[in-house]
Amino acid sequence: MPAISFTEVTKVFDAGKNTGTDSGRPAAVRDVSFEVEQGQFVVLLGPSGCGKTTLMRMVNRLIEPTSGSIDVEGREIHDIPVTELRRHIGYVIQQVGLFPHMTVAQNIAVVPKLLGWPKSRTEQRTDELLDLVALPPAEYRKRFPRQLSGGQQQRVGIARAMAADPAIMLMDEPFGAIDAITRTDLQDELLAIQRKVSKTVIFVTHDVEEALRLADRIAVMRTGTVVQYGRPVDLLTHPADDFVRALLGTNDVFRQLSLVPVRAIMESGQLSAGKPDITVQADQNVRAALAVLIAHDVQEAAVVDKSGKTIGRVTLQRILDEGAHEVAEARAPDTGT
Amino acid sequence: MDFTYFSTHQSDVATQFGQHIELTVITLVLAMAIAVPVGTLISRFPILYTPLIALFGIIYTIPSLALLAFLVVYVGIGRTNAIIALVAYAQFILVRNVVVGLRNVDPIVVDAARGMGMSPLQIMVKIKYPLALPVILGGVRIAAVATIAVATIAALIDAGGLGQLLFEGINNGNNSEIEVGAAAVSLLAVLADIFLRVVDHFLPASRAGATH
Repeated sequence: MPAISFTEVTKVFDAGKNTGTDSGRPAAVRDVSFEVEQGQFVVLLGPSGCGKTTLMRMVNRLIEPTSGSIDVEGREIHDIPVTELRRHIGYVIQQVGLFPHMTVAQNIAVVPKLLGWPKSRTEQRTDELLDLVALPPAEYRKRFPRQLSGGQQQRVGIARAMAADPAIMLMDEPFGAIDAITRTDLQDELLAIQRKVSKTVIFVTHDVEEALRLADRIAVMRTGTVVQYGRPVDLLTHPADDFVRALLGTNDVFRQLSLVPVRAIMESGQLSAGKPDITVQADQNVRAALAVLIAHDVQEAAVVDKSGKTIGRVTLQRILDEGAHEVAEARAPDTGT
Repeated sequence: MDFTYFSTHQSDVATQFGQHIELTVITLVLAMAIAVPVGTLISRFPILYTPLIALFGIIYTIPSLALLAFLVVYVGIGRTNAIIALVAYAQFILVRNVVVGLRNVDPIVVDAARGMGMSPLQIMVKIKYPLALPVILGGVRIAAVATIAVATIAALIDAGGLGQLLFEGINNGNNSEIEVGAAAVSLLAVLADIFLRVVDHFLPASRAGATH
């Protein structure tokens, strides 16, 4: 059973209310269908106004779909009382939204309290979560949000969202307002947390680097529709259209090559006789393989598996063709492969 | 300054001081009981803001003596008359502060509360009121001082309080009585102001620096 499934979800905001005119507005989200598997980290990626936040906010009914259905853990979201639905879905937003009149511990305890947890359990959980987000409980428990840096506030925001151990987390550009260095730290920590607790995450961002770093699956959105949904490497190597290609910056050959494993582009057969015996690992990325070829000034290398057995070969020509064909295509469409 | 009246009439002054406090406290409690629901209603339906604030504004501009005298026609003289007038005056200040306090609550914080599964009532009680409280209390502070001042005049319609000393003193040409009365009213106003500032200092929202 998928953790979340979207079925023909459409959202049209009331035109009269928002624009003061009665001319029809285009749908903010149009006919979106896809499934999110349990424990997967799914990034909704797209430019601002593409409907990614709207789509995310429909999962916990902060925005009601105009039509279509959303199932969470096999139940349609409207079959669950809305407060109960929300208490079982973690919610993290860019501006954090900590309650300024409550201490860090009180903020984290909000949902456990709503769920009627005993005090001792809530306290234990609070300390556990503060440890998880690398804020020593003894030092931070009693602080007020104003006494924390932006990065620390968002750590508390994440801890608060995870307080009642929800299976699903919704995260709306959680690191968007945080400086680049702290952002990278937080991304690393989020990945580490995710490896430990394995939540189903829907993460909204317009930052391509962030999406590529974090995602198991990326849903690329444009003008309310999902234009492509798949693994990051698939999006890079087989972008569905020019929009995905441009958005992912497929022009950046090196980044693209660094995300593709050698295994994906190797050819069968042995090296031609008499060539020096250069090898690359099948699990290495193509960028590393390219470096090996250049360093040894050769046209091809043998591909070996973990045991050192030769399982194919990789050629410079193939790397150029496969790794960079999107670039060639983007620049001069008629020369594409 | 001549406070000889105080040494000869200590218990009278104490009684009137007590009456004045009572009048002020009853007024503020009743006024809040009206202003909080009305302010909440306005923050929910902003269209009500202009007509209701205009109405309270008009009441607020009526000279206090005129309002007290006018009410004599309907409720007679005495404390009830005074309390009705004082509650009506306080609405302008209190309702406005309740509305502003609620409006200033960061919508992001409210969005987070909704997203976490708080019901509308829980959002009101646990988030919006506590965060609006410093602003609301600021209104109470202003209203308290204004009430103490207007309540002085209410002595004219037999509502008791420190105003009695002033009017008696004027009638009898007793300067010491006037001075004691004036000093006592001023002292009460200052004490009320200080007390409410101290209360504000201990509010969670103020302590956390949540409002400016």
